[in-house]
Amino acid sequence: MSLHVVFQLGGTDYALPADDVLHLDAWTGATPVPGAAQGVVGLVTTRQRVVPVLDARVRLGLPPAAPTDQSRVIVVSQGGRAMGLLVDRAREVLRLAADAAQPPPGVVAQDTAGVVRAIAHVGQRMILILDLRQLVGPEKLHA
Amino acid sequence: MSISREEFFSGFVAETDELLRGAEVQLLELERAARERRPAAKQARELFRLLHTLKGLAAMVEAEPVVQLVHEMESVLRQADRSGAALPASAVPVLLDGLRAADERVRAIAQRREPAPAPRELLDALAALALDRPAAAVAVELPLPGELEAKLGPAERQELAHELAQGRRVVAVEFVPGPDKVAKGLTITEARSRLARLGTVVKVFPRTVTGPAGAAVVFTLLVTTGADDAAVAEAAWTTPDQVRSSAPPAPAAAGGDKGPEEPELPGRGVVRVEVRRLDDALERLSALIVTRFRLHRVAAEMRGRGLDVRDLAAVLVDADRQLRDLRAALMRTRMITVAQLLERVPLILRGLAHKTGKHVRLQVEAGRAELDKGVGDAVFPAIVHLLRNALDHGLEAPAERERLGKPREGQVRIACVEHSDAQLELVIQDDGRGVDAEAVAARAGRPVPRSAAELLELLALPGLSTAEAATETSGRGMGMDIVRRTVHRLGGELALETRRGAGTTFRLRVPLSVSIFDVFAFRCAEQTYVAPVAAIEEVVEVPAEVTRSTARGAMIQRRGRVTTIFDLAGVLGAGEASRRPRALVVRRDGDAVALAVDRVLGQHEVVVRPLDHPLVTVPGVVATTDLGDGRPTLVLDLATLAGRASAAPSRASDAS
Repeated sequence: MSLHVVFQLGGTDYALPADDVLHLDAWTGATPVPGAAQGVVGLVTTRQRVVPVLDARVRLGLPPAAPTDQSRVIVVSQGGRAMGLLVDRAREVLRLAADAAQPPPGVVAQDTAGVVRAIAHVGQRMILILDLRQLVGPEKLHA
Repeated sequence: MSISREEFFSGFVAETDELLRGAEVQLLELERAARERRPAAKQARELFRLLHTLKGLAAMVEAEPVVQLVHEMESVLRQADRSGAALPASAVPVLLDGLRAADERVRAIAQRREPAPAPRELLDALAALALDRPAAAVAVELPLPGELEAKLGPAERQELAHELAQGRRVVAVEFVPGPDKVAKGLTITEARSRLARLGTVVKVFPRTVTGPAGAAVVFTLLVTTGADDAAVAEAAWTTPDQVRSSAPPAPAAAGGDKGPEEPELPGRGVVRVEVRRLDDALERLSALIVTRFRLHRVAAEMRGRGLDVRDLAAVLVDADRQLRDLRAALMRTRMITVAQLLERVPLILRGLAHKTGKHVRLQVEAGRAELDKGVGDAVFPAIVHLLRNALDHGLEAPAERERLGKPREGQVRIACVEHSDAQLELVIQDDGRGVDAEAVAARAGRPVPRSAAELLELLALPGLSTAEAATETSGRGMGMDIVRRTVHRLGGELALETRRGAGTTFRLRVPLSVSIFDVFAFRCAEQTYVAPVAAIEEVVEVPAEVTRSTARGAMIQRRGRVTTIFDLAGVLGAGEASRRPRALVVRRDGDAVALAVDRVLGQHEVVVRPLDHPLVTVPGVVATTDLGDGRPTLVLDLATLAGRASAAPSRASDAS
């Protein structure tokens, strides 16, 4: 049983281990950085820090969508650095039982290049648990 | 008690580093004195003191190889002292080797590695210098348990005997580190320096004791002092009954006509502060400056609503001035002298001269100029690089110089000039053969440069090397491009003058400090950017008609001269190229380049945060700042962007 932050992208539920998450921010726009890595929407100031924000949609190969007032920035810590992930919605923190999680079917694992670490079933819902390092890790930065 | 040990280690590394540098400086002074046959007792004593302190520190971390090395070096100096402080010049290289070996081992300790044993040959070489060996063990009554006393070396015993003979007491006091003490800054380093004010800390014995809370490190400090138990106890934050002494305090009269000795207070009125703490204070100041912007914004809004804000405006003016003063005061705490920055240069040059077999006379004119520690640390590697180049490629071998009618000894001069615009110019000059522009051009496969600026451009091509073979010191390639990039990153400029047969001069112009900048804010392609005012030569209006277009971009007339103009948005890749009414003129190593923008918003004083996340590492985008709206604003390095535009005409969109 460990805590996960659950978020939505295009109607699908995803989750990240709460240990990786520093805090959540409402989306209020970002300062674009011309020439930045793929999927970087820009820089935001959060809690006295300036962090780059990645569009999680781009990273997961989903079609881009204009942010709404539901959009959130999940500020995560990766490799000792803080950065943000822009998602459609993020409202829940769930304790996901280890036995509810199972490795993803081969085709999913292949499609998402290891980004999906496991799939958890909570009642009728299916939640894709992501591997933050795979999602934003250095080897992905200039993909 | 791992906390106290960590804390202690970081202090150890910082302090030994300072001691080793100080020792190098004194040693080179001694060498010069020996060459010029003048006495240098003061330097010898100072060197001895530095080494002695170093030995004490090394003993604290049980760095036996360092203790051994430094101990042997001390013996050499003790002998020199007895012979009237005339250290033979032949001893200097061996002592330098000793310092270097000690330095390597300290670095290993800093990285939590086991230091290598002291090299036998070096110890032997040092011992061979110290002919006048001290007599065997001296009997001294010590207030120490036998197992600790056994750790004392013969020289330490002798020193203790000497101190006792002088009427001082030898006391042992225990320092028990703990989180409560660390919180108050009471570390072993601090205890040692407090005790050092009362006398001499001869040795520090660390011991591991096991208590209810687990293993802890406890230190026993052996001190010779004229002070009483209460004073010693106070210095070590313990009680007088914890102080053990070897002899009753000698009455003041026993000291003869010397009277009570003033406790020595080294570095009184000086506080050593970690740069991290200064950075923290600056960070807090930056928040205050952002708040000031917000205040101005709110005042402007109130004025816009027709409210009377004259009183508020007057207060704001005061607040601005006070903030500026505070900023200046804080920046001053980060300043180091150029002389301090260049302290290591003689030693580095000596090593280079040795490796290349060239003879060098160094002239340093540091004056009283100061610069920010951060700038100094950033620019120093560039200086070392230019010195290497001067030795490797600039100066001729002694025989060749003689044939050319030059003095056998080559001249290397480092000077600095402070400019009124908060910039410092460092001049690195040699009287060698100069740069062979044709050879450089041939090697680069480019046309022969027509000016010094063009020559510098060629030299700064990545991977270019003019030496026939890679040398041990300069290696091949990788050189001037890095020097220039370093200078540019600091917002500075690099220039070159060279004359065949007469020598080469490099001028590095760097800002005195970097954390807070005066910037111009401007709009371009619907985004606000800022750039350091220092980098902008002028702001011009772009005429409706550009003069003419060439493959390199469009041109405008400016002060009767033709200047290339690029659309900044096009260069940045930040939007559609369009005609923009204003342009910022920047200079890139001599050439003026205009970058077109939509609107100039005005000048601000801002705190800059470096932008170093790999996701947003973009050439020309160097930092962020906050103009008061709580959002990051990008700080641009216009010189780099101008260079990018000039190099890639396809991206540089037409500004017309």
